[in-house]
Amino acid sequence: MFAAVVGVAILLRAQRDETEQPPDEDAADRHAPATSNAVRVLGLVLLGPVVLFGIYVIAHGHLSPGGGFQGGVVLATGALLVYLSGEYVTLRRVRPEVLIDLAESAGAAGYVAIGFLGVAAGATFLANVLPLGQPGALISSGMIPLINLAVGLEVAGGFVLLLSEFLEQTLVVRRPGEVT
Amino acid sequence: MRLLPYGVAAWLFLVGLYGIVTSRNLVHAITCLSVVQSSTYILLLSVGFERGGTAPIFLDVPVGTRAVDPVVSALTLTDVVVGATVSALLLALAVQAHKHHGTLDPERFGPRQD
Repeated sequence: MFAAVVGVAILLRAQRDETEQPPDEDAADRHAPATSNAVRVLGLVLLGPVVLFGIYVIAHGHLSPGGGFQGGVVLATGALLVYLSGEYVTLRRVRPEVLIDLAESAGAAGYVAIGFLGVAAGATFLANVLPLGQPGALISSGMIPLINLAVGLEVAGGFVLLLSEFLEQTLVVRRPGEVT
Repeated sequence: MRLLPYGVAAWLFLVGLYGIVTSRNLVHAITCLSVVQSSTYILLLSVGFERGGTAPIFLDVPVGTRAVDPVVSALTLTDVVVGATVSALLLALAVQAHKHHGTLDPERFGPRQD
């Protein structure tokens, strides 16, 4: 999945003859209608619960259905809500690129690092070497919550990166002589 | 009816494959690929299913009762998410193909024009 996201980032980078034109420069001939107030309010109201629900699904991955992959997608939906409820420039301000790249790389590297934790303790790669705890408690089952956290970070960062790459391609990158 | 899930998976696979092969639009071909992927999800889930088994959470059920296999359902959920990113990669390839050839029709891709 990491390879697919990196592939998209490479493929959709600005080519040699294309320039980046921020969308607020040609607002005069934008034909897209402004987002209605209902969508805006709903997006903002749902943002908090969606982010909280994503963190809940990631954290309880070892107790109920969910875990890193599913919770990461829910977190990325929060970023999508920001785009839907506002203009693209709002999304650019809210998702600093450095943070997204850092989150995705930290997730992927964290997964490998936790795997090698098992090797360092004398067992196989990705073996469970932390104390197992009580069944049903939140802090239990060894390394599984840590792996869930790493995978959730990676999936959320990857999906927000995909979203921003495609949006930039449509809204920002222009060839010379191409009309909006 | 042990054969029904496998039959559904085979039918979805064949329908998606037919769609990819006879496609005149790259985006349509990518959607047919996701149909083929969904046939693999059904195959995975039907492999792990136990008739009359409960959900595989043993907090309030004595250990040892028959439960549905959790590994294949976790694999399927992972597969869905990874399939979404692979579709995104293929769509980025379609965007680049459109830039090179000016069309999304795979039948009209000639040799490179630049």
